[in-house]
Amino acid sequence: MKGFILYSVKVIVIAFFVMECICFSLMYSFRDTLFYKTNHAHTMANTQYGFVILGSSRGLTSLDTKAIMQATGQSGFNYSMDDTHIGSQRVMLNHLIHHNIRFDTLFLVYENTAKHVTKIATSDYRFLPFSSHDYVKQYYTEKNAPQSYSWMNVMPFIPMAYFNTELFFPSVYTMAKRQLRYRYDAVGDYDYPVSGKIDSSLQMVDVNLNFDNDDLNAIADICKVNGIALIVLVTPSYHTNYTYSGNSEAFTIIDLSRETITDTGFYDRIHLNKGGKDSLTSALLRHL
Amino acid sequence: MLFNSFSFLVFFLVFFVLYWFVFTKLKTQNLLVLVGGCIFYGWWDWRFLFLLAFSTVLGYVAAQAISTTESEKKRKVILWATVVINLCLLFFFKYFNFFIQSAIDAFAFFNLSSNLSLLKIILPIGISFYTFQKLSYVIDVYHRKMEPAKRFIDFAAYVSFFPQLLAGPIERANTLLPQFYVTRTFNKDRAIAGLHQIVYGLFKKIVVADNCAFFVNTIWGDYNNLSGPTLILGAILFAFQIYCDFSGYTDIALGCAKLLGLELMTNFKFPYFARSIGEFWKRWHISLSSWFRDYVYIPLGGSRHGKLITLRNVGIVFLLSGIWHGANWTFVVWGALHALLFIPSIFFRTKNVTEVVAQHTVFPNVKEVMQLVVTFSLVCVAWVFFRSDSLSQALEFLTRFTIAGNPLTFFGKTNTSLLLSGVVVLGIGQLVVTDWMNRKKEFVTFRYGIMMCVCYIIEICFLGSFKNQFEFIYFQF
Repeated sequence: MKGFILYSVKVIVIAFFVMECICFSLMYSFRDTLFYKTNHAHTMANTQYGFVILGSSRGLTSLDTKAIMQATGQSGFNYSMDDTHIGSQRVMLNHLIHHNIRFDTLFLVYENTAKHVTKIATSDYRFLPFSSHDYVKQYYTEKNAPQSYSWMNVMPFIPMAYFNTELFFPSVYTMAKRQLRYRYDAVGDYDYPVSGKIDSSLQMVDVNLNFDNDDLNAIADICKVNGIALIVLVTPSYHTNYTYSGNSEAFTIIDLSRETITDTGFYDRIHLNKGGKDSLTSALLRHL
Repeated sequence: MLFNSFSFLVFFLVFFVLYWFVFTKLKTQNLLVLVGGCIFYGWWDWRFLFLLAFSTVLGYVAAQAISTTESEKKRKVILWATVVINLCLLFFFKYFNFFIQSAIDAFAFFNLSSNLSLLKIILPIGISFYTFQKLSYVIDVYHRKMEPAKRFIDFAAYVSFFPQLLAGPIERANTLLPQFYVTRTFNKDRAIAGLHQIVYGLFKKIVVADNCAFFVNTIWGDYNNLSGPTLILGAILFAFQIYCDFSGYTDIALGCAKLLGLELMTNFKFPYFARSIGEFWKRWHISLSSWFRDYVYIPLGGSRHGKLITLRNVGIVFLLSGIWHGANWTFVVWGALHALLFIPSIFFRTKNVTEVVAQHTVFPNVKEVMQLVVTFSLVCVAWVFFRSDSLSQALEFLTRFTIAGNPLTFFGKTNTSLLLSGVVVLGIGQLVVTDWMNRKKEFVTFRYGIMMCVCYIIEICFLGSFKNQFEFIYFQF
C-alpha cells in the first residue's frame, strides 16, 4: 500500500507541477498579446485616446470608429466585446483605468433593462488572465462567477481546462502569433456581413431600458472621478420601440434607435451590418 | 454520480480509505461495498434503491430455494418464476411504453380507435445490466454450476458492487461472487495497473467521446442541411464516440475494481481491429455477447443442429441483443442488421485466422487492411440506426450519404469547431495508435508507467471537454 500511495502522490505532484508551470507561463505570455481586447488594454497600457466605445456585440457592430476618428479628428478605440453586458463594461472600464488608458469621452452602447445584473456574461472569462486584480476579483464575486473562476490565481489549470478552447489554445497559438486579434481590427471594430438574414415579418416589440442600474451608476461614478464625459447611446434594433426609465442626470443620452435604418442595414434583429453601421455612425456624428 | 465528476472522486477516495484502513475484515468490507453501492446508486434517484433491493432479495431467496429443493420439478418452477418476475420488471420499466406506443401506432395505421395510454415511468438506471447479472446467478445455481451464496451480505455486495452496477460488465456470479468470499489483499502492481486503466478510461471518455459528441449531436440535429461527406464523418465520429464512451466507462470500472482488490471481466478487446463482424462481436461488449451465447444461443441448440437452426439462433440472439439496448425499433433494426452481416461468418468459416490482426508483424497486410476497412464501414452503417431517434431518420441520414459537398464548410465553420476538429483528430489518432500497440493484450498498459500516466492526465486536463460533458451513453440501457 505504501508503494502505491507513493506512486500516486508522485503522479499527482508531477502532473500538478507541470500543469502549474504550463498554465502560469502561458498566462504570463498571453497577457502581453492582442488576442482579446482585455489583452489589448494590457499590452497598450499608458495610451491616450480622444474617445473609447464600450458595449456588447451591438457596441461592436453599430459604430464605425475610423469614421468617428476622421470626423472628430480624435483618436479612439472600440473596446466593446460580444456576449457581454453592462457589468462587463464596468469591469472593462476599470481595466482600462487600471492600465492607465486615458480618454476624454466614453460612448457606452446601452441595452440593459434590469436594475441589477446578478450573473457574469458569457465572455467574462476574458478577464481571467487578469483575475489577480482586485476589480476583477470583486466583479467575479459580485456576479456569482462559477467556483472554477476563483482558482485562476492558485491553480490556473482548473479554469484553463474548462475554457480550453477560449484560453488554453489561444494562449498556445499566440506564442507564435503575438499580433493576432480575435474578431476586431486595428481600432477595435468588427463588421457583420451585408448578406443579412433579417426576417421582415418580425412583430414590433416594446423594450424599456432601465437607466437606474447598479453597474451603470458605477460607470458614471468612475467617469466623474476620472474626468471622462459619459455619453450613453441607444442603438436601433429591428422593429423595436425603446422607452426609458430611471435616473439619467449623470450622463448624456443620445437616442439613435429612431434613426432610419433600412431592412438591408440589419444583419439580424439586434445587429447592424456594415451598411447599417455607416448610416448610424453618420447619424451619431450629426448629434455630436 | 458520474465517473468523470468531482463528486465521484471524493466518494471513491473516502471509500478507498474506509475499505483498506477501517473496515479491513471480510464481513465489514462486504457491508461497506453494499452501503457504498447504495449511496452510489441512490445518488441518481433514491427510489431506484427499492427496485434494486427487491431484485437482490428475490435473486438470493430464489437461489437458496433452488439449491435446497430436491425435486427437479420444483426447482424448475422456482427458476422460471424468478426469470419471469425479473423479465416482467425489466419489461415494465423499459418496454411497457414502447409496446403501448407501437400498439397505438398500429391502431392508427388501420384507422382504428384505441383506449391505450402511456404511463409516466422513470427508467431505473442500469436495470438491464443488474437484471441480467442476477439471472445468470440463478440459472447457474439451477444448473449446479455454482453453489449459492451463503451470506446475504456477500450476495448483496456482489450485486451492488458500484463500479459495474450501472453499465457493466455484466459479471458472471461464478467469477465475481467468489471474490467476495475471501479476504482481499492489496497488490501494488495490480493497483497501479488499475490507476493506469482509470486514467486511460478518462482519456477515452473526456477527450475523445465528449469532443466527438459535440459534432455528432450537431450533425444528427441538422442532418437535413448537411452534405454526404459530413454525414459520413458524423457516422465515423459516432463510432468512436460510442466506443470511447462505453469502453472508457468499462476501463474506469475495471480500474476501480482493481484498486479494491477485485477483478472484473474484459468487456472490450479493441473491436475496431476486427476483420469480420463475427470477430467484432468477440471484441465488442463481450460480457453481453457471451451472456446471450451461454443463456440463449447454446440452450436453443447453438450451432449443433445444422446451418438453418444456427441461422435462426443467431437471428434470435441479435434481435434480443438489439431490443436489450432500448425500447425503439432502431435498436431492433441495428440487431437485425448485425445478424445479417454475421451470416457469412456461419457459412464461410475462414481457416488459419490469427487471433489478432497483424499478429506476427507490426503493420497489417493489404488483405487485412481491406478486411478492417470493410468491417469498420459496415459497423458504422449499423451505428447510424443505433444513434438515430427513428427508422425514418436513420434511412434519410443514410440516403443523404450520396449528396456531394465539402465537409470543411461544417467542421471549419467557426474557430471553435475547427479547433475541436483538431482535438478530435488528435485524440482519435492517439487512441488508434495506443490500441494498436496493445492489441495483443487484454487491456492497455502504459509502457513508461509514471511519465505516460502524467502525460495522459495533462492531456485530459487541456484537451478534455469539460464544458460540454455528457452522460455515459450506456446508462440509458
